[in-house]
Amino acid sequence: MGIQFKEVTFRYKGFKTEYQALEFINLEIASKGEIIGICGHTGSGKSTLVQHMNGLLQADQGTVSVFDIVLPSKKKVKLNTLRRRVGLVFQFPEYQLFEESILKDVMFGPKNLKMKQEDIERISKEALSSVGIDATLYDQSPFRISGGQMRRVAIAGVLAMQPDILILDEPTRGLDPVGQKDLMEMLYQIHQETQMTMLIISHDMDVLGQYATRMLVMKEGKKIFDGSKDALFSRDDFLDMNLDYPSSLKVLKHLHQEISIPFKMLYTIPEVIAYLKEFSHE
Amino acid sequence: MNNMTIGQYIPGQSWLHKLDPRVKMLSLILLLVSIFLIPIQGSRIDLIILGSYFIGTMFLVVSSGIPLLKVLQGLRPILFLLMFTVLIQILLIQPTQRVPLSDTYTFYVSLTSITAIILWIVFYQVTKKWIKFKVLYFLLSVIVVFALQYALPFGSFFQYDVTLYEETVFRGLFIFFSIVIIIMLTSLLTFTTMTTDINDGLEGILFPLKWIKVPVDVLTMMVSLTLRYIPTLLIETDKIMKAQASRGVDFKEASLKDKITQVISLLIPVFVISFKRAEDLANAMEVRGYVIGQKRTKIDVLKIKTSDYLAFFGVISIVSFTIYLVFFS
Repeated sequence: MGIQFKEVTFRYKGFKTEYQALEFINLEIASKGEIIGICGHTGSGKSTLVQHMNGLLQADQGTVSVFDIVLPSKKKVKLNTLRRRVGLVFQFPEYQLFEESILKDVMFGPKNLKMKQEDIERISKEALSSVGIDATLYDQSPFRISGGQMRRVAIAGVLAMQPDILILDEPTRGLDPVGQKDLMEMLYQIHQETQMTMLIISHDMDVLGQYATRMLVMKEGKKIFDGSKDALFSRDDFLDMNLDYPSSLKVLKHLHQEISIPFKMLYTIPEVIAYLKEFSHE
Repeated sequence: MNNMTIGQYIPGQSWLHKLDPRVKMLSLILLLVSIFLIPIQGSRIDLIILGSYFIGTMFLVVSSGIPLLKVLQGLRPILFLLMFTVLIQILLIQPTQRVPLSDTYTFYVSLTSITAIILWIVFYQVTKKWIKFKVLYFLLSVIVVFALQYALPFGSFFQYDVTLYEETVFRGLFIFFSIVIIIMLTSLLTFTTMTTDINDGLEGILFPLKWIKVPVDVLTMMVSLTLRYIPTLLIETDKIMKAQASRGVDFKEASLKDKITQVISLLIPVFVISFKRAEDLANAMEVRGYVIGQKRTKIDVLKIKTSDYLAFFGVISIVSFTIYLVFFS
């Protein structure tokens, strides 16, 4: 079992005020083979939820167990081991770069985990090549490359810790369409090779529709949906969740209404085109 | 973190809250100066003046609607200094007129008293966590230290005599009360005025400096932007801290050498972000037509109202009355 939430409640405490960010969340996440899309309105608790998964935040009520480490716990827990196994890439991760060269920056994570010196460099180079950073760039300053490349380097910095589960908070935000597509393809490639479970927070339903195998929808601190994307998009109350359909579904819905082509759950444009061609031949 | 407050402003609707910040700040300066003008020698008339200042301050606190305890909390950081000054006044200053208030007491620095004092301090440090009235407990423990020196003469290697004289006790109390009044008045200003208002007020007061080419408006703009960006940068720092923690940084338990790289991993990103923010802000300001040194209009124009005139007139009369009593009577 990867991650398990039991009746988790969390409040942000301010001066005199409290803000309930999570309410009685129950959740199970396997350590292999899933790509989970997390969506929901701004302030619905998505980021708070994922910060519980590597111990950055700890529940006020209920427990979170991550690879058999139960939080919050009375005993002292080495949070570092937990953070090694669950990698978390924040929004705009390019801001966390600080070293003088790209390779050194990626090596920062493994160094903190006290891995063996000869392994550190090998693992870091592997991580960099898996995100598509060319070996000629290794000695460059991370501040002299483009924004999209910086983001890749930052993701490599987390991948170099060899996590079992990777969490990405809006990985495509602020990138141009080509950059978005490249980044998602790259992540999908890594998923295919390692089968590691990925959790992706995103507002982009096209991205989630195409890659996710399971969807989580949050609203006002509660989990309101957990299941397959087909089940999510065929729900009648879908639009009440403040979400939008992926553009491929919008096209198919429109065609169904206007010229009554039978509706089918398809998430990528090539699939839609193939389906329509097939339909017109009949 | 999300709703932290800069400064100590406590929202309220009292007349002190509504007073013009320039009037408040000028009044504060005038009152402080006149408190320092009262001679310390401790004649009856000076004591009456100081006493009425104290009563006036209390009246201000009550009318501002801010809890007295909150205002007195401002005394906490200087409590030690305060005790020290009063004790020095009472114990060391030789009075000119020796009117004794008490018998002469002899205190002993002895083997027994030193051990007892050390034990008492240890006891104080251990127990102070559970005591609710910390300040009172501190005062009590200072008294106990002297009581122990008085009560345990055995094995003495040094002794000193203390006689309480009227003059020294007066001086001690005088200093005590003037410091208390000063602290209370200044904290009243910060409690009833927002930082932005203080900043505007400062600009208003320093306005004459413009004639000698001091860029007052630029300076106050810098101050207000700095204040504005403290919470933003704190939020950014929190984010970076979490991001680096996810990369295995353990800010609590690490060796010194690791700690240095960890602090760098926090500092450089925050630096980069603040430069970026500053650049964005500069562009946004320029787009909206901000030119350094150019005349600007304001959303909140400070206007002197009748109540401001009245308050300032009141302060002026208090100050001039004090000066008259101190120097001409």
